[in-house]
Amino acid sequence: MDVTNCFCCPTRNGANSRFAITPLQVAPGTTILRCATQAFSGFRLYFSATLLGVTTAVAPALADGNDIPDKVEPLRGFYGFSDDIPEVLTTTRLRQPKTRVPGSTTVIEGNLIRQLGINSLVEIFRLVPGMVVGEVGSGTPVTTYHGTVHYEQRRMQVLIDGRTAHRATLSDMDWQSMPVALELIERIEVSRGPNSAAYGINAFLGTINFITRDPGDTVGTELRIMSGSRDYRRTFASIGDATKDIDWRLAFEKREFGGFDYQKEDGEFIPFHDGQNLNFLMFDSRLKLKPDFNIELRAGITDGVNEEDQYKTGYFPAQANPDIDVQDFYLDSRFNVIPSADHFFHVQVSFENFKRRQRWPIKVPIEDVLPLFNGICLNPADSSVNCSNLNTAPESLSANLNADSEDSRLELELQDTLVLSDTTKLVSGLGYRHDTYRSETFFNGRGTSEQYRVFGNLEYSPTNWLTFNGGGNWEHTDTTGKGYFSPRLAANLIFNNQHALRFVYSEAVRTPDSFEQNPNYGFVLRNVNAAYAGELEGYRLTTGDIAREKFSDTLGVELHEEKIRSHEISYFGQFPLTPALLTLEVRGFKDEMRDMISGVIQFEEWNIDNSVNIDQKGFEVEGTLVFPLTTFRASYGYLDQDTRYSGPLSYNGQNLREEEVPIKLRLLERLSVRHSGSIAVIQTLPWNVTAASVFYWADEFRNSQFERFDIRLAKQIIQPRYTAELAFVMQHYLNREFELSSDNNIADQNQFFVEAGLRF
Amino acid sequence: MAPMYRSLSKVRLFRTTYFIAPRRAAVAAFFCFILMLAAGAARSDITIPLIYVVGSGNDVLDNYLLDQVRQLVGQEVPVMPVNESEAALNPGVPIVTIGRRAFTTALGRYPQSPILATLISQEYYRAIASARSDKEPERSVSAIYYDVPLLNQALTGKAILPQSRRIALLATPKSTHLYSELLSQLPKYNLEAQMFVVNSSSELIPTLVRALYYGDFVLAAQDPSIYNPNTIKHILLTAYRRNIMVIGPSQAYVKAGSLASSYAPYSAVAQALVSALEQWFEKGFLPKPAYPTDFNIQINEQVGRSLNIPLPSEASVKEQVIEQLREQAMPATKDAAADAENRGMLP
Repeated sequence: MDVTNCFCCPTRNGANSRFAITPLQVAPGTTILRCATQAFSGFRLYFSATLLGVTTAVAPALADGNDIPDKVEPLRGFYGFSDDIPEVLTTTRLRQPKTRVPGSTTVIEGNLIRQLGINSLVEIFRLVPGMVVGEVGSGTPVTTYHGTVHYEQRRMQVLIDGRTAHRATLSDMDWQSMPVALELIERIEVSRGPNSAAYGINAFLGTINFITRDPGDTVGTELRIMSGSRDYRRTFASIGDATKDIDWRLAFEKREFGGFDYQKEDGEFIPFHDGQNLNFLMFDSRLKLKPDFNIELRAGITDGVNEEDQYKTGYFPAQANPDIDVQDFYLDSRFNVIPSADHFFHVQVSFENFKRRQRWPIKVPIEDVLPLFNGICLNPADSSVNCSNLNTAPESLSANLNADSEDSRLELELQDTLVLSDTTKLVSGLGYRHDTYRSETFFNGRGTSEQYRVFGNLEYSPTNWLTFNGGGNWEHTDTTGKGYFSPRLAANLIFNNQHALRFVYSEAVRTPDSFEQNPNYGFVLRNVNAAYAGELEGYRLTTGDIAREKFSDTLGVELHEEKIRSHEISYFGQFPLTPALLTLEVRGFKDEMRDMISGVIQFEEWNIDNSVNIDQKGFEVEGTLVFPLTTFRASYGYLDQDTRYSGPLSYNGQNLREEEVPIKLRLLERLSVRHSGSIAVIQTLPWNVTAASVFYWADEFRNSQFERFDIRLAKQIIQPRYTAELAFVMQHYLNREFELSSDNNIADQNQFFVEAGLRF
Repeated sequence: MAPMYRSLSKVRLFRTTYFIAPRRAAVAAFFCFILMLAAGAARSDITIPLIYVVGSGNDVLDNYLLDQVRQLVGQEVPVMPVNESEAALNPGVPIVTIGRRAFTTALGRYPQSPILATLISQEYYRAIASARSDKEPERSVSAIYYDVPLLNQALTGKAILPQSRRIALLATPKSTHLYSELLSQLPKYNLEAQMFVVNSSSELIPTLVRALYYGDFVLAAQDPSIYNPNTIKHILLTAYRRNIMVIGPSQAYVKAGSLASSYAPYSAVAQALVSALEQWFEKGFLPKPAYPTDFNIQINEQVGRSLNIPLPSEASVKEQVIEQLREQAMPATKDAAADAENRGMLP
């Protein structure tokens, strides 16, 4: 065999260096050496000492019993951007350590969620400084960062593995039917502050990015069941495998919940029909076709019932609960191409379909029938109505209504990441979104909207103590027919690699969604009772037919974009306090929001317009202190919001009513809370027992406070072939007063849950 | 095909000699002898007259280690590759073997000679030693292990993540014993560990996922049945996605993406080897098998930054590890301290 010496691996410190050399015999007389040096770049080099050629095989030398200690390849792309190392990913789409991210980002690990006994998706956001959580309508969960929304949560972008998660046309988040199981959350990144520069026009106040567990990490079987107060029951099962060519996982989740115990109706407390019973089936996979090319395929189905109470349906008295039948599905594919450690791009194509079937009977009392007919005859939506037949009201009017809708979204995205040098990284991309909506009630048929955009962010670190980020997103949407540019500029001063002071300026816009801009709201009457069937069967009763008295009508008013300008000064630091580690992030902000769309969106009232300006400032703190066996975590948000009316003082020649301005302001302030936060402690005890407790509060939530104290005790049983877990969770509501709505009442201040899980 | 020689430099004459085919060994030995005489005139304190070597078959590696040895003993000490029958060897000179294969070869081929194994794991050495202990109890055999005690690795993890307490260990049913000594040592250092046993390759990731729920970090031993080039990427990425660092098993794995590892530099192996040989020539017996007394730490800073772990310097981690070892050795009995020193845990 030929003898070859490898002198091409220079060492920085001769005495401490170590060569790892793998002789690979390619053919008699040829030796190929692979040299590992301290500089990992050298590690990638293959040296051919020879005579014949080069092979790219790497040494399974350990397996072969070769006695030279180590020959391991550096992970491909490990130092670039193609692997999921948990740096902050969401803020700019670049993977960045927290010291270099242009903005405050809360990262919530899936493990923390499970350790604290959090039992629904929306509850997680109580841990995020500045975010509040509440319930509206029939126990529908809502959450927001810095208020401004209530029923419709339009001002944050929500993503699941890069796929837009909110409903396409109503721009609303349905947290109950969101197809993410708590067990499958790897982490959630909440980018606090306008993030349109990276994610476009919905990322007005921030971005929530759910990163689910890689199918390669969930090999095996996991079963979990959790059951408790208010008929809460959640069942989860997943199975998966990882082979050379494919990683996959199939997961099932069933969520059952009874909702609040009772509501207040006409001064009486009666049971509240606001629960849910939803089933989820989710498939995740990764096809590993080549080392530099893989495809992620995901699909999911949601099916079940989201209960709605008959007293929460609006204008017409419902005769039965208008439960929503949910039938959603999604298909998602992402093609990851990794030409080198310095260059990586992906193409993501997803299709989502949200189908809601909601039908219920109504009965208009006899005394209200004639006023209704007057409205119809004054402004008949359908000229075939013969008003001469509607001038008497022999009996009450009963009919069936529906609020069925189906939204589809096709989304395409190309994102390219380039490491230009050690100091410069660039991410850029293109996006296209096509929404289709079908609803007899909301749109009187079918419609579409389109958005396309170009985005990019450049990270430049001229020295190791300074990083600049400059990014922007240009987007065109046909709901307003215009294009918008949202920039962000940031400078991070970095000390000792462990502390950073950030200065961030950003702008963002939110354009009205299709329903806000082009509503055609009307209920088609079906199964009309005999007395009126001849005239009204199939008649589409519109907002125009209803006598609206409360507010100025803004139907037909052209809406334009909302704008925000945000200034942030934030600090991130880590303090090793042996044997503890303190991590602290403080964010100070000053934002100006202009032309905010506010008003009532209801069948009987429609008065939204760009009519409110908001100035807000405040600060937020997030800190963790980790000791051996003990973890403390605290979050706090202080928000000072100043809301002013900026819209017209009259519509169609009619002055605004006195109460309209304060109502429009209040509508944007309902979830604006001055103080909010959480304090959590997790203690590891002997015998694999873990105790966790967390206190959440939100102060000045309208007129009340939210205060809850949770404890969870869990015992892990670690066996050679499986790990089992038994847990007990108690939630204690300190404040008996409802928050947000007088209908949201719980009978018992203490709520109990038990949990059993098995992983093998 | 004719052998190809590549002279490293003039001063590396012996290294070149070492690569000469066996039949020329005698010529080489002659040269060595002449040079030894010449050098002997210059230095009077030489205690090592000659070093016999059975190489690993990997020339560069062997050269590098022997170069370190030469720096300690002086260029004039001849380093002789041995390939002939035992009769031709001086029975008073131990054979230094480099690597696993050289050790087993030498054991078989030179049944009478004393052997000092290097670049061999404790694990392998013990296995071989126990297999032959009945047959030739009198023979002088010892070793300088190439790895570091697992306790050093555990303390390295603790020094980087002072808030850590629980260590996750992965082993196959056949490799659990690798950790048994560590498991008994940890409580003294306020650490605890749990072993997660992987029964088949398909169980690796599910077991790792279970381990990640337990541990503050994963400690990897030199256990190719778990940690090898085919598995390491998946293990590291799964751990890092869970924000859990992996310590060990060696310097090469740090380059591959493990957060940190302590390791014995070749200079330390050479130092231990020379000390052992000196003891042999002075006192007539080899020291007990031991880890090299010195060790270094290597940290992958890129991974540390990615995991948002504030990283101390490698030197300060080393200092803390030594400090911890000392603290525990102090109150112990003299025997225990001596034992620790013997096992190479204290520099």
